[in-house]
Amino acid sequence: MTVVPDSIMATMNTHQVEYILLGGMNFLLRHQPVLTYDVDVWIQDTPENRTRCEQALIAMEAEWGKTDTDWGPVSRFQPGWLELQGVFACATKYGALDIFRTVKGLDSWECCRSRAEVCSTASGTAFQSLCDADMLACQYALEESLRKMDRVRYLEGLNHDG
Amino acid sequence: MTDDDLCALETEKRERNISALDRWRFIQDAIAFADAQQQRSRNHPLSCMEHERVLLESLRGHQD
Repeated sequence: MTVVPDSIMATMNTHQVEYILLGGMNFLLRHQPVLTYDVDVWIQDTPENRTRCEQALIAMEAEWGKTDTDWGPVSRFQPGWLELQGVFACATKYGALDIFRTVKGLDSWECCRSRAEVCSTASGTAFQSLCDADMLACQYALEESLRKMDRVRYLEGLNHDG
Repeated sequence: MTDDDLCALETEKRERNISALDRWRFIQDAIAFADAQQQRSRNHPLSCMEHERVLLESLRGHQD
């Protein structure tokens, strides 16, 4: 059985999208199960990679809209629509997918990519995983009320354990 | 608008535009996925004992 978040990452891989997995799904795959149902990916923000990502989103039958009235399949947009804003919360046939072009608290995609770890899901789908220190940096960059404190404490504990 | 605001607005917009059935399916699939990543199912006796050990450890802090 292909489990659904696997299919999102597999489709991104098939379309050669350069991305780093972050957020709850990354924490779940690296450390502990947490309640999350969206897949968060930070894509390399180049025109070529955005084009590949747009193709992957079409393959996943993704839906998105600038407004509610505009919500619908992304296949109707002209190429280059991922330039519109910094983050997109899409719905795909495989589940909810958040695409980030920039991530608060993290500077360069390339630096984070060099620190990222190549991991794979239980069924063997490979992905680049944001490292623990960068996961923590993301949390610290959030307003305090928005931080996932369980995750922060866990990651801080790893640092203290050396 | 801050980055946090945009993230929140984007998530809220998606929530409004997917059906309750899809949302439920996404959650079910995510739970099944999370379970599949573990070497032992959460309902396995050893998993339950490990979970209990963690809970007891956390209680010990409150009782001291």
